[in-house]
Amino acid sequence: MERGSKGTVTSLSSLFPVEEAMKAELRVKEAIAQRTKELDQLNLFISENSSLMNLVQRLPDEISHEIMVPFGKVAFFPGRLIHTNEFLVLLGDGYYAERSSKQTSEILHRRAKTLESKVEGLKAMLLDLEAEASFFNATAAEAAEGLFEIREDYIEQSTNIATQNQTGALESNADPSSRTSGNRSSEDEEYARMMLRLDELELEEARADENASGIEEEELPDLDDETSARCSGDEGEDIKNQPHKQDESIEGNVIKSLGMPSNVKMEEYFPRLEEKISMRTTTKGEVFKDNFSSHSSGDRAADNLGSHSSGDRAANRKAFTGLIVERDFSSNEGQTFSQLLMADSAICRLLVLILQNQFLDSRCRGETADFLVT
Amino acid sequence: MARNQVWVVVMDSVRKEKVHKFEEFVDRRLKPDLVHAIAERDKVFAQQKVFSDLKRNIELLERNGVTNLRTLVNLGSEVYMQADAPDTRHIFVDVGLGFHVEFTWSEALEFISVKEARLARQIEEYTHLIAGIKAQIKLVCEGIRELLQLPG
Repeated sequence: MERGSKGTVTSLSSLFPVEEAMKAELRVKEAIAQRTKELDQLNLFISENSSLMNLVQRLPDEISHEIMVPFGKVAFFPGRLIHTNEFLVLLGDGYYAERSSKQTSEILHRRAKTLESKVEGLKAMLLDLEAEASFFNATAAEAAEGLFEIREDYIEQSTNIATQNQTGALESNADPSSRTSGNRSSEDEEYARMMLRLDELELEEARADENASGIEEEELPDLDDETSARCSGDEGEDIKNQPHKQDESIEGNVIKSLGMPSNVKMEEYFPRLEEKISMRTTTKGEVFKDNFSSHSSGDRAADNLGSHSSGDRAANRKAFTGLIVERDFSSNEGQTFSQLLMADSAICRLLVLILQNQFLDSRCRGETADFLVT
Repeated sequence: MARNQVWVVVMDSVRKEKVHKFEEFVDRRLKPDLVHAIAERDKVFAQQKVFSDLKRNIELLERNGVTNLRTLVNLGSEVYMQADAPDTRHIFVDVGLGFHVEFTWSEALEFISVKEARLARQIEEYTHLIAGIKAQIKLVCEGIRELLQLPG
């Protein structure tokens, strides 16, 4: 997925300069004029041929015809045509044959057919040339208007990327070297994966701390510079206060609904899921919900994600309340979670996408949006 | 200094314009004229050849005393038919403007010599015209060269 060379935008006038297009059109028009002249000449031949056929058929009607016998180009004698059923016909290459009137008219007939086929060919050629000329004309006009050509290759990788990311997320213990040795290792992707892995490790660590100490209020684990910076922002207080309560509430609800023993920790079943969701709390639970449902129904919902990544990002950043997560789950809990369990690949995909979004957005916002859309 | 530069620039544009005009004059006026004149002269040459052929043929008839003639007439598209001219002592010759005059052989030869002289004069005129056009083209080309080579 080369994001740099994803699409190209070229102005039509840079591909086909207006003057060049006009020149080409002019050239084609010249060719058309030449062909038209040839066509006219052929038509002249045809008419001559038909009149000659007429003449040849009429001449033997009489023994002789009074004519002026040409003598050179500018002189003639008075005289008459004799042997009116004898014609000397040029066969070509200087060979002549003596033919009767009927035979001559047959020869002329064949000549007429050849001429007609030639005319047909010439007409087809003229049509082609005219189409070409009109194309050049249109191109020139478009180039003059300042049209742009936007070209983007169709890359059938969107599902591959998702699955790869998903597997990367699932097998979080897998050797990173094996992943980096993967055939298609774009730098950005690798960076995102590394950050994901770091994030997971840190969260695990933090949770272990939490489990050990139990009650004291914990810091939200550091993700990376960006997230910590965000945490230390205006909503720093909220973030510090909320996670504990939020965790508990989620556990309570979900575990109850799934009928699990209450002493089993939620995060052992959905370790990463919970982390991500608690990390990624949003005021707009609907978006989240939408994403989940659309994913579990197998749809990729690229639009949703796109809007989420671009439009709601600011809102996400500010809103770290955690209350919404509770509501989100309680509204969805029974059905959504069973669906999630079944369609965990979809979840993972979504989470990975969200996480990537989160990490990448400060670094390469535009590219992330691109990525999500693809 | 700045004024000088402006002057140079103005002169430059003026010169460019002039060169352009000259070139256009050569391409649009003189060269078509030259082509036309040469074509006209070629026509006259062809005419001259026709008349000299006629003259030779009449002289041939005269020398051999041919009074009747059997020949092939081109009906068009290289289809020929035999034709008989019973009396060749009188010949109709095109004298121009669509008029044909009945001549005897000697009258025809006289007319042809006059016509040939006229054609020769025409050819000379056209040759002069062509030379003049060529000279003009050379002159203008030289002017352009001067404009380009010897700036202000």
